[in-house]
Amino acid sequence: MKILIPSLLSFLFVSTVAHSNNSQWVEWIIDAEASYALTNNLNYSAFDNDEREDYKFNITGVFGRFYQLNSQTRLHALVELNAQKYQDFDLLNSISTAADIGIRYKFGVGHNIPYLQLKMKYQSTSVESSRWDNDLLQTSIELGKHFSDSFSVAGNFEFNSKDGVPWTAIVPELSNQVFDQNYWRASIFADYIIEENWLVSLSYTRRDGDFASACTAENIEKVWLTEQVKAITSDDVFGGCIYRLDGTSNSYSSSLSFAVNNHSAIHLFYEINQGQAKTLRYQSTHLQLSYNYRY
Amino acid sequence: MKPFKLSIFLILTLYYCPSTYSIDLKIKVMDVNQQPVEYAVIYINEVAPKSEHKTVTVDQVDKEFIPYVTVVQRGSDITFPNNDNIRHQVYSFSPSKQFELPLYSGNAIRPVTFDNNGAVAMACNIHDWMKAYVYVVDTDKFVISNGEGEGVITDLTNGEYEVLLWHPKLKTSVEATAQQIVVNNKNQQLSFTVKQKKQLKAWRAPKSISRRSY
Repeated sequence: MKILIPSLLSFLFVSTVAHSNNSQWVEWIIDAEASYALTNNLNYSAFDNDEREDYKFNITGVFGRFYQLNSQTRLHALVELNAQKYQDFDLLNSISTAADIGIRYKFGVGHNIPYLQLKMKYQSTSVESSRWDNDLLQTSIELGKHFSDSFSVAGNFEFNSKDGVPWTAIVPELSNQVFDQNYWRASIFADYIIEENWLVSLSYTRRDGDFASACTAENIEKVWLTEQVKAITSDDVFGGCIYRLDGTSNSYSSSLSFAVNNHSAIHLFYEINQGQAKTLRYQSTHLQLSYNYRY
Repeated sequence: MKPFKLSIFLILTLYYCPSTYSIDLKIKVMDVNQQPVEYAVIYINEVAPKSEHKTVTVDQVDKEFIPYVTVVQRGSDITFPNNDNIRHQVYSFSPSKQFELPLYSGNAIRPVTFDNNGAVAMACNIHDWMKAYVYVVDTDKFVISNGEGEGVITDLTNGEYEVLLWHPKLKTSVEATAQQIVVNNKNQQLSFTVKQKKQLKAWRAPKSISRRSY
């Protein structure tokens, strides 16, 4: 039901504009990605002795359609399927399905004309450790521009509302819905083609709002004394408990891409994330190698 | 005159009469690093009567324009068939020729007439990386260099000519490439060394799914 409703909405939204004059389906979207990643401080702990790392294999498929309303306006509607498998922390293995619709408006015809894109995505994630299950509603706005054939910049703002499942209440006066989270992210991206078939991408993201962190029983008292915990429950993945705080983070990423051919590319991606709640600091890193295919 | 003597007379006439002798001009185009330059347009700077009408085509296959560079005489028509199973929208904002072919599949509604000299850069509004060029000249004597940087302009007659070069990445003006040749009864060779701008093709390969902008 959680996927059916957004899918139907997508279909209805698109079909209502299907009869516009001069509007046409342009082409199918068929994308696939396979990646292998190492995440340090996977549990986003504030304590060095609690940090855990793991390798993850991820596969994603995207299927949808472009719909060109006129020479400047394009709709897309797509579904996304994702599966993640961890090497050690099997309980974090997950499958997610998502529906995504968006409208993109170019302020004219031409390669270097700026565009504005509005998107809405509804994603349902089922994790092997059921207490981590969640539904996510994401809305975003992006403004971007090519400055030349080699260089482009985009700015993106997204708001995320995540709905988790209630689990065991371990502190009576506190919520047990750790994955009920609201947060926003503002990002800036820059892409630069350094040589034929080689692309460098840099990005910065500022995040503000709810986040989840896990720690063992040894450290929970330190959290209790220094932070305003909004929700807490027991954690069967890392042991101890998992709790929700309000905080901010800065993420810096870079990636190097190689175009294998017109339809596929390899990407090497590295991100460092530095977060802060009221007093505690969090840091994690993510290194990923992926292969992408587009029909 | 007896047939044998007539034949000798005709042979000697053909050999010594320059106006009936057709000559080739072989071209070689290299860059400053002595690498061959493909897609250079080399042409004689002259105004010639428009050649017999030929249909010139710029196709769209696998989301690319084929060929990348086309040369036509001023006043020629070009058709833009779309042999992909998806739609394209072709446009140009070049001062020499501005046009737009709205979204279509199969054959475009009409050919486009190129009635001004110079370079015309074309692109697809749907697929950002698709780009191609049409270069419009007055002469019917032109060639596009191949992957070895070579080409041949055929059917020249004796005389003095100015030869020009254009390339999508040419750093200098076309006039700065001018070379003079004198054609006198034998095939000629001409070399060009061109300075090119660093101009890379727009990214077409897929980005990571998290960074896709549809």
